Amino acid sequence: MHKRRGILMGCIFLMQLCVLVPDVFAAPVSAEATVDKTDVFVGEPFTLQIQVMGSESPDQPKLPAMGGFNVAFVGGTQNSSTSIQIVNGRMSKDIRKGYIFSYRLTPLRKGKLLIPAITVMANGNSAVTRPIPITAREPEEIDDFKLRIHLSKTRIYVGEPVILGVTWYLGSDVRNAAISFPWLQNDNGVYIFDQKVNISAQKAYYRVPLNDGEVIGEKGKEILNGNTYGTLRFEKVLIFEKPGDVAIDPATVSFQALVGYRKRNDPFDDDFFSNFFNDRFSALQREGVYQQFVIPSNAISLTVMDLPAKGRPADFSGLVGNYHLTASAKPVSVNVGDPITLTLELSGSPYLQPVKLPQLSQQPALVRDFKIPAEQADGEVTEGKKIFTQTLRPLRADVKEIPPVTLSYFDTQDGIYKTARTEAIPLEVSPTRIVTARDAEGFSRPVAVGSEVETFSGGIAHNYEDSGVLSNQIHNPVAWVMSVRGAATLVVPPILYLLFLGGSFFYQMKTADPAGARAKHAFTRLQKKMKQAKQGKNSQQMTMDLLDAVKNYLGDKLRIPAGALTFMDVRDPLIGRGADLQTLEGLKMFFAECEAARYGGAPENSETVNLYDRVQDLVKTLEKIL
Amino acid sequence: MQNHRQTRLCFKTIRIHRQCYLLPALIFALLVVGLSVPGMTATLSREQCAQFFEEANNLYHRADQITAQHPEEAESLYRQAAMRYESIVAKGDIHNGKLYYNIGNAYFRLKDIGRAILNYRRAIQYIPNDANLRQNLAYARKQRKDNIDEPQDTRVFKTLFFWHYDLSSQTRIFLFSVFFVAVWLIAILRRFFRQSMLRWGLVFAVGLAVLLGGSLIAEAVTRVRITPGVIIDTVVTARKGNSEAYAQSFTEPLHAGTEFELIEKRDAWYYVRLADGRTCWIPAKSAELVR
Repeated sequence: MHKRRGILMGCIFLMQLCVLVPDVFAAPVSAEATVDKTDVFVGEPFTLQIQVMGSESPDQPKLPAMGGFNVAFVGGTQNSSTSIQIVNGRMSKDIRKGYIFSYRLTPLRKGKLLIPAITVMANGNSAVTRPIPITAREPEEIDDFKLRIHLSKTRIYVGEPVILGVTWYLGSDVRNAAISFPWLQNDNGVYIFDQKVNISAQKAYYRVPLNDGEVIGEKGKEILNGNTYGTLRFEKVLIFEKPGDVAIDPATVSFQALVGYRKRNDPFDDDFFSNFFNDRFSALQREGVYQQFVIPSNAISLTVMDLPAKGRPADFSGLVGNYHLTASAKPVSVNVGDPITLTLELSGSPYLQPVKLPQLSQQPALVRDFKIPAEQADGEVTEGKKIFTQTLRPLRADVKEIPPVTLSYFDTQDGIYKTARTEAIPLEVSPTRIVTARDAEGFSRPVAVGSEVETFSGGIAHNYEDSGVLSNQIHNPVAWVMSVRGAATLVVPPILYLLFLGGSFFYQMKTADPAGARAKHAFTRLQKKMKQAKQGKNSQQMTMDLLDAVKNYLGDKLRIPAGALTFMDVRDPLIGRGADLQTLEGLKMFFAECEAARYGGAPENSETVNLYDRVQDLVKTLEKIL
Repeated sequence: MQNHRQTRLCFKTIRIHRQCYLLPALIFALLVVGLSVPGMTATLSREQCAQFFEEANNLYHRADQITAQHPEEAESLYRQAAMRYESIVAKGDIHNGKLYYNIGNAYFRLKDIGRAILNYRRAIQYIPNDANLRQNLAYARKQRKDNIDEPQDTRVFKTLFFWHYDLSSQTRIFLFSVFFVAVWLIAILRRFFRQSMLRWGLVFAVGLAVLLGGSLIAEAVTRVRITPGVIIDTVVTARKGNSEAYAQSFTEPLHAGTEFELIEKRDAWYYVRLADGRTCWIPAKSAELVR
């Protein structure tokens, strides 16, 4: 017993050892930072990889401040490997765990830049990468490619939308293009959003990487400095929140341009499908030669003017542009305190997305007559309109209209403040009655004389007062099954059916083989008749009754008619059943004596008793073999 | 001899046929006796229950008559009527859909929408197809402040499996018993009469017994898995955890009459799921369970 327990404990220890081995002998954590290039242009993205060795699940490193770079996390992936070596029949296994974090870095200024040391934490240990110096060169413009940025206006008011257009002029095919426009990412006090692109089936559009995201550019063709270029153009809408002179730093675009073709050296060493899409179909026997370029755009500036203080309304909303405001309400026939949905539609400016409606609770005419919730939902831009909804509740029954809602704005075209105003909306406000229980049931509602009689859904119906209310009702199926009635309903019918089935089966068995049934009960009947014979009037009668009883017994057992049965009739069947000679002799004597008594007169009483006992012994012997 | 045997066989067959006609009568007798077994835990006698019931009805009538002129006195009478109805349930151990309906009406008149809906929900377990009950429950639900939509798929299920939702449990149990017994009865009869009518009758009875039995099993499972309840306090702040320390789950509090399904009970708090699927914790004292 102790030996078995020792073996068991040993096995458990070994299993635990196997589980713990990887941690106990885990390799120390180390980290290494690598870049795909160290000499780059300003605006040219490159990849920084932090390779962690010794762990498959390190924490994502918190990067230190990297001035001069725009950093975007690309993702992480496991970098584990297992190698098995078999030397002279001995197998050795080498497991290497690792993880790689990838970042996309874009230099923002020229000069010597440095990727500092980065600390990585894994399994409670830390590892530090080595710093990497990066040289960032000023990009230079080339003849075949130009990048231009421009503004729709160079003098605007605070809050006035201005469109920033970016056009990339292309002289040949390019691939792997990315535009870097750091100014758009800086917090310049500017609200920036994409200009809506009206997609046309006749034009072509491309997704262009821009900073950390992308933008949809429209393909076109333009002439610049007397040269015709293919163009890719997109626009941003800028709304400045502060006045002043603003300088917009240049953007850059990095790309690989097709600069020529060369003959394919080995047509079999070729990834057909990748080059099919990168090169022209006709150039199956040659391949394009691409060169990396980074080109800068021009720099632009604009002046943002403050709004004039003269004539500025007290309720000025801050909106700049040209606006129209309309209103509708539903329902317009209400009781005091009932909600009315006021819908305001603002239109006019093509850039309604950032526009917010001034607080209605600040409008004295509305506050006087209505209860207005403090919270106000943002509107929704639909089909050139921004739609705002607000719930109002009339405070009194004498309120006759929703007064005009006003919106003051600065019109840049005329250079003056203006006010958009809705039309007043007539209302019918009825006083609210004190609600009682009868009101709640609808009893006191007036019925219009002569109106169509309709079913009124309000109010509650009458009580039940019949005696059936005091009867118990069942609603729980489990309780019903557990009750006597449920159990009886579920159990009794199948049991009765099975009983009936059993009875039917036995009855059919009986009716199908009546001789068999008689044979089964032959011995019982014999015993009964022998007892009756013993109580007979005289010895002759008793002998005859005994003979009849034995004949019937043998007839039933051997399935032959018992009426005129003789010993010779039963001898062969009994031999067939295995009766011995002594029994057959005894039976023969019994038949002979009984026949003799029938024709020769009554035997002595003592002989009859002896005959009875011999018959008893004889039939017991026969019963064993029949 | 042979003729004599045939005569005896026919005679026995006829006797068995007579016995099989007696079987359904015996089974139905068992069923009827079983369905009339009274409650076992009552502390009020039947006569006392009847007396309470009459008193409650009278109080309710008097309240109806004076509610317009003397609303406060009527409120007191409605409250007394509700207490008597509730005593019949609690002490008389009588559970009847119409009784719960009357309790719901009394609470509705008391403007206690939470308890009104609670008792209507209890009543609908017994009499789901009662038109008055459905109307009153729908109207009471309109009176509550929280408007939480029921999911659409539940309505679809209620249409597809109408017998499960529209028939009371008692009706389904009775119908199941009838068809269950009919299955065995027809099975016995088919031992003697091989008629197609009996065969189709057996198929029909088996089909309905399975449908109704399945419905009862589904209800039993539902009763184990789902415990409905109703908020009875006027205003309840639903929270994200089972104490006042947790932040509120919704910007607005819940109000009396809001229905829910109990997910978990922890200390004196219920973790509940509202009709639209959102979950929250509420104090247990602010709500009552339907069963």
